[in-house]
Amino acid sequence: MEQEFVFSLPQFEGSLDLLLYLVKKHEMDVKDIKISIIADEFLNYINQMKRLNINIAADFMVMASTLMELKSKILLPNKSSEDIESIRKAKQELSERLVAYQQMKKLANKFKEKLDEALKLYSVRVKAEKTSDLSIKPENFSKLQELFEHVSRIIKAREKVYRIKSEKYSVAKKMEEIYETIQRKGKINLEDILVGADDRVELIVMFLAILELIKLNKISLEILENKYSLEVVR
Amino acid sequence: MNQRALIEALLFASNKPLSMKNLSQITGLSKKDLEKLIAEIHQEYSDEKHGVMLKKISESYTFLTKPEYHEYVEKVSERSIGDLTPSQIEVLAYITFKGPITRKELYELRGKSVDNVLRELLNMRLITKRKSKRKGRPYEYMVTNRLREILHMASMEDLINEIAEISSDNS
Repeated sequence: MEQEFVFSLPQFEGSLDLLLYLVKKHEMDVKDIKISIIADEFLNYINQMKRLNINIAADFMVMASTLMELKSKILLPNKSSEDIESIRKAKQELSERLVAYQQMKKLANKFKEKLDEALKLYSVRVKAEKTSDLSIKPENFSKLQELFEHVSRIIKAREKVYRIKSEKYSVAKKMEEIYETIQRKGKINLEDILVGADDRVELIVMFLAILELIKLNKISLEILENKYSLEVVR
Repeated sequence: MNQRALIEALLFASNKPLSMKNLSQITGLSKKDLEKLIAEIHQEYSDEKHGVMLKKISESYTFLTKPEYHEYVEKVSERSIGDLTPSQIEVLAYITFKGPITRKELYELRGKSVDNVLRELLNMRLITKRKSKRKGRPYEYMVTNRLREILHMASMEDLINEIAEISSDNS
């Protein structure tokens, strides 16, 4: 019977992660890495990844070649003092990167804790606005009618001057347009929106659109001393 | 008029944290009086019968819901940030502590490509980028005010200061 092999290859986030793992595994001091052992194991790991058809990120290859180069330099006999110096420097650089990486890892953990903490807090705000009656009462309705007549007159006067193109208006489209306008401008006077109508038909469509938006609680109508203003409901 | 109630009303009604200066300008009260009133409010709301608490966020005051109720509050309130992946959190941490920082510096710190994560974080508006004045004018990445406000809620500035001290000791 064939024996089944189960591979378990620890996953590493990057070349530094793997390097740090190997250093810890051999209980080395980060500041004194035994290059030849680490280089071999690093390469070994990459070969295993290859065998398992795992995509190997470029930074693993870069690190592997750095380590192998350093190892071969160390193995060379009759080193000049310059060689020794350059090996020392390369080792130091590697150690520094590892130390910095270790530090950042720790920081990232602390950061995560703080972030989790922050995400559990919600700012509290009472919606402190002058409350206005959102339901349109009969007495307000007559005022709206007045406004409608008023705007109609403005538009009628304009009709004498401009030729009106025949165009079909849809309430849905108007709702979108009006909602966007209010969103863009913040608080806006009802009259200012309605005056934008080209003719009576458009005015009616706009009116319907606004009433619909109020009904859907998308916008609110505030009535203060004969001033009608519209605002996006947040 | 009850001065303590007044401060409470202001803190609840304001859409941003209020500083001592803000409060003093609005109410005309002295800093000393305000400190006393704020301490009283703080004391009162720390009682477990309240679901909200008064919190000082970098010199300003605001009311926050208590963390122990977050699972429930989440159901009625929008979360400030969605769930983040471990890589996103890691890169965000580096940018928070070391920013403004270039892509290359991030890569060196992390030993791994950061391109995808940077794009995701930019899309979430947690970080922003600008052209640096350094050679080659590479982009520098830093956290947005939006993220900073969120982090301040958990007194992240203490941690940032702590880290600033550590890294200046090293250099």
